[in-house]
Amino acid sequence: MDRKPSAIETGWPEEGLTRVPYDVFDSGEIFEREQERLFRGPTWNYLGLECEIPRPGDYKLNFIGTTPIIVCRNGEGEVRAFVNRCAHRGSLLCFRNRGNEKLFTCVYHNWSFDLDGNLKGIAFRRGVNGQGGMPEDFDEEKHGLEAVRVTTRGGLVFGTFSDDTPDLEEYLGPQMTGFIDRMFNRPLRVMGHYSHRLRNNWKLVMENVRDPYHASILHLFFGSFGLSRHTMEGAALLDDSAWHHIVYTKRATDDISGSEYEDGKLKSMKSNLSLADPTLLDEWQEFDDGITNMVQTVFPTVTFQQITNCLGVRHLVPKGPDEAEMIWTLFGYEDDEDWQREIRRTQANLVGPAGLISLEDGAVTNFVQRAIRGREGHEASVVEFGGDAVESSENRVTEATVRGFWKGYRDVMGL
Amino acid sequence: MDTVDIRHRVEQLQIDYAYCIDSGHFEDWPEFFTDECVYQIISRDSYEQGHESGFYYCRSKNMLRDRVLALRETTIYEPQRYRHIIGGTRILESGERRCRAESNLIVVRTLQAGEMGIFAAGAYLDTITFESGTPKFIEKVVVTDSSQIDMLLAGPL
Repeated sequence: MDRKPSAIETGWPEEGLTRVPYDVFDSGEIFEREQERLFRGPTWNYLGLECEIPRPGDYKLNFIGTTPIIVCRNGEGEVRAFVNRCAHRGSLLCFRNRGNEKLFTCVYHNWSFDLDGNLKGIAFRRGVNGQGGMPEDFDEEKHGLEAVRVTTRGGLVFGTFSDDTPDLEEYLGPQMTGFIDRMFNRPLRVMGHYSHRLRNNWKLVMENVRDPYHASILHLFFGSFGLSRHTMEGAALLDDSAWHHIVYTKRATDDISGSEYEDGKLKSMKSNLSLADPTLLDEWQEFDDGITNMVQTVFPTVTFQQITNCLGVRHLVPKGPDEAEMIWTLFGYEDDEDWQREIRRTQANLVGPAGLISLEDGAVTNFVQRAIRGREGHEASVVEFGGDAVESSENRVTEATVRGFWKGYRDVMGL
Repeated sequence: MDTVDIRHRVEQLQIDYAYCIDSGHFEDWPEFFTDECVYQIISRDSYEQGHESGFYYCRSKNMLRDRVLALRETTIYEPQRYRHIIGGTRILESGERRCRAESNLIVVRTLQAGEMGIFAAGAYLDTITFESGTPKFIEKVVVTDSSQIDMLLAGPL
């Protein structure tokens, strides 16, 4: 039987960004190209929070695409990042998720590297009794760790492999940068950390987080308890490149009269429900702008969220064409009072793999992965809600933010 | 109560608790707790670091009821079943009115297509009261050895 050519060979559907060829969600060839062009390309990738590595020598592990990364603070207090791979024979250099070291020493042959990635020691460098060892002319300076270019803003750490990646502020544009400054405006304190194994391609997750269409439909808890409805004031924003997005809602502006939410006209809405303990949704106005829900993505794989007072970072790590891991970091601020911490902690019930408003996401992205198997030819998904626009709108009844992701993807991938 | 009696009552409570969840009788699950209670599911890594936030955090019986309401009315997931194996209970502290106990747990999850696997392994850190006759949990902290959840965590552990 003839092999069906993938989207790499046949190109993107002629309709453009309103169609997404299913090949991109399960092709091994495309997955490999993503590693090279996207994750090693001109993109800023989330690496962690500065408050996770406060002191010199502190480090944590992460990934850019599938590449293992060490993020650390050097002796001068600057953040550094390297590929977590010994420059000798390629072993993982660090294998604990976090710690503090003066030198990173490989367990395999005791090659050691300083906090700037320089090779500082080689076991039996001069041999034993004048025999063996490394050649006299072996140049340690050429055998440091592979460095990742790092930038920080508001306590966030990003890394890129490419010299072509513009400065973060230029990469994001002023509006997206402004929203980062809004939430990351003072020292952070981590409140929780967990991960979510997803049995689907990573891009299905990025479509999902950028999709305001599904939020109040799939997540019945959201709409049923009035946390987010399309009748509330909000916006779906894209930067000029359309790579990054923000969707926000202002809950106080809800008026469902005459809409499909009223009288349960929308099949999924259950407006007769009430909580036995309404303190689950206790809150305070965290920001002056009245925004109660905000989801922001920085292309390609990180999401910042404000669900009332539950603040968090969701970092997506691709694991293969049909598997991904979402690493969650929930946080508050160092200056939070106890009652604020308790509210954030309680609202954390809404998010994550057990989240009252997000539990379904792990199911539905897997449903897509399962349903696209056995397809005929070059079938594609339809991303045409709100037309074919790829621009900001003052409503959230649109998939423009999803199309923006695919614009960034095609820009970088050459598809 | 002597220690044998306490151990027996704690183990019986765990057996009934596991049966309630594994048989899908979620409506009965809050009844294993006192009105003022804490129920939390948190990873061991977060627990040891002193983090506040985990997967589940309920601080009243009514919040447990709201979890059940959400499971029944607003949460969407494929049919699945848990099977709890609880054992190795250690009574850490005990008196006439209450005790603290720690038990091991393993939960096997079976999905409707037949796929099954160990979904969670960890420990119950329980504070149990005997005051109302029937033992009830004042606090139950489920500490999961893994920080990772496969696909979704719907029903309680």
